[in-house]
Amino acid sequence: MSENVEKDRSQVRQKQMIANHFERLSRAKEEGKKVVYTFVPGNLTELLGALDLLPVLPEINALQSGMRKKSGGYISAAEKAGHSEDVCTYVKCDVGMLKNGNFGPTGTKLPEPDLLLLSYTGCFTFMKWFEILKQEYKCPIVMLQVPYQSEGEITEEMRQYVAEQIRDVVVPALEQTAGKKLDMERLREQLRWSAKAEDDLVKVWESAKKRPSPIDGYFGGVHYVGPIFSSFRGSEEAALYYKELREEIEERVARGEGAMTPDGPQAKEKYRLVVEGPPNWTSFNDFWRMFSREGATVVASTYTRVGGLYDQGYRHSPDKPFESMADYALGCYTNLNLPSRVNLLEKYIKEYDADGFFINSVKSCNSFSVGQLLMLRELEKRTGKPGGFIESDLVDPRYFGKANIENRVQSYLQMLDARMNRPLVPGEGLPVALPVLGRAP
Amino acid sequence: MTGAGAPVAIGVDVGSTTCKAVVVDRAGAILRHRVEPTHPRTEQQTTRILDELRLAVGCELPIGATGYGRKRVPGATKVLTEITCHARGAFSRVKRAVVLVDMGGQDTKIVRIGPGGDVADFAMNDKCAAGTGRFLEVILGRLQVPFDEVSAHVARARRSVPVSSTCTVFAESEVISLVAQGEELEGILRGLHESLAKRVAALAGVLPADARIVMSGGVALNAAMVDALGAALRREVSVLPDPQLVGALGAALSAS
Repeated sequence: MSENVEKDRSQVRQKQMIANHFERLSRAKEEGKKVVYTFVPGNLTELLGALDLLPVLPEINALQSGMRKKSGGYISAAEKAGHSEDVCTYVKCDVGMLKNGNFGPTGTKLPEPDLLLLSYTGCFTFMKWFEILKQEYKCPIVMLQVPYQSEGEITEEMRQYVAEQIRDVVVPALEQTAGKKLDMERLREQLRWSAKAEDDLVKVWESAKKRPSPIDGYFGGVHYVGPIFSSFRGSEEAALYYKELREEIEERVARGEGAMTPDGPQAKEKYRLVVEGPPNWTSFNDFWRMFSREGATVVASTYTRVGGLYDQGYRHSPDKPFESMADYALGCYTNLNLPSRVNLLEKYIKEYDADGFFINSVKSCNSFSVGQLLMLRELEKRTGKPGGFIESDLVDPRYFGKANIENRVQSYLQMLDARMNRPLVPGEGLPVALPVLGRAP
Repeated sequence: MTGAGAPVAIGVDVGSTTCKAVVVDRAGAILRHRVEPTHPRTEQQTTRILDELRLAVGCELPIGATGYGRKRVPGATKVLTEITCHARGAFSRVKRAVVLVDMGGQDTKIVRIGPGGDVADFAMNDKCAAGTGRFLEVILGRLQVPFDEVSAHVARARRSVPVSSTCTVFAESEVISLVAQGEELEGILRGLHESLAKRVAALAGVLPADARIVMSGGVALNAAMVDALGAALRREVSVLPDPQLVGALGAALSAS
């Protein structure tokens, strides 16, 4: 957000929560706290909280380094250390940060991990990433094998396979690190707070079905998912954050306000879009403004669901702790097969009454980017809505060509505008094999 | 210059390589035009060009701006991207659904124009200038072949010498290497055009069976490129009148 745009109460609270967390991490070693590095997809934050373990999420550190314009230097440091240009830039940003003293995004020093908890194996890069960190930090890894939803569903066998690993492999490793036994009642309490926060987050998402949408469900949305995707889910603090956020959004709806943008509330909602793919973090506000200044609001996005498809009914459950954590890991967005992802996007386009959809295909993330051109064609065919496609990256500033990307975004919105402001001519909008926007030759 | 109606609008296309401006009448005929290499200070350049055109027609006119420098055209009343403007300009000439290939200085665009004249879909080269006018300019400069003589050279080629690199800088090195190996200039040039055309064809993807292809942009003035593109797409490629001015024309029509 711009410096001169007043922050909402929830934003101020979130900023303080993050600062406090990094402060706790900086004192962890002197206070004898144990630290676990883990990932966003499939994260088992409630287990860590119940055992008083402090989580560090390298992906979140990388994206925050990107937003703070530090990632370019870190990536260069990693490349000098021998990591190829083709390696995921989250990994290189993290390795570069480590090589530069391991000072986190807020400037405080990060403690070394006592354990690496690999919570999701659907991303091959995650495995190699923690192999590298294991060599750097000389600490143990515990791995949760998460089967891919190749048939588009979570079977009982898959659920039990993951739940048994959590109970028989992950919990003992965490107990050993924490130096104490897991208190199941504390875990249930954490899961209750999670479900409460998830209920409120769903109400925030679904507020975007209104016209105008009181939220931007992608650029604004990535701020909203911060606490629940990272270190805070399962805490009372996170539940309070989501209650406050939900109430703020309800107030915006009551006032008839449009989505918040970097320049203040959206004056007029001209276009409603659904977005697939992660954002670019190094030019985040520039990228956002390419849409918001043209009157485009994102009403739903898949990136904001990578940490849980709560709006599709999933909840953490104190009644079935391990099974619900298993479902969480199995159900993360990138663990869905392509038909399920297309179905979800189609559902969003229809339920949120979107005018079109846009794909930001990032170089670093194969879990997201594979199949996106196919998804684009299929969605155009099913919905008759035009799709836009650009390529950038997560945190490597070299892969965000502002002029080129802005040209594509504006051309797409001008195309959408023309399409919305006159009836279709017979023969238009037919599902033929079309040139694809932004595809590299 | 074509047509003789009263002037209704000016269109300016500030591209990466050349700056184009047109004055049009209500029927879309180009009454006056300017084409110049783009100056680093585009605001000063477009101010001068606009002053000259206004003086020539003797009145103030609405101004449409497009191209990478579109946001710095003084007094522009309509600011649109090249995709939108090339489509508008092309449709004013053909008045039917077509697939437009615009090969400009630093990007190549494939635009599917619907039967109503609007952009139905588009594709652009990404991240690299290979497959654009700049690519040709670099190689022709290295071979010391003037742009207006290139078609004659290609026509004289006895065979095509493949140029495989997909990067402008590497292609330049490859061409130098081929010259050093004694390959004839004409064959290298033909191979170069074929390589470029294949890249554009790949960008176009699978075209509908009945798609008509038209071409705009400065590269369309190179007949060898038009032929190579037709061969790569296996279609007839028609060049729009005044291909370099199509974007400026679309900008003027949008402002009128």
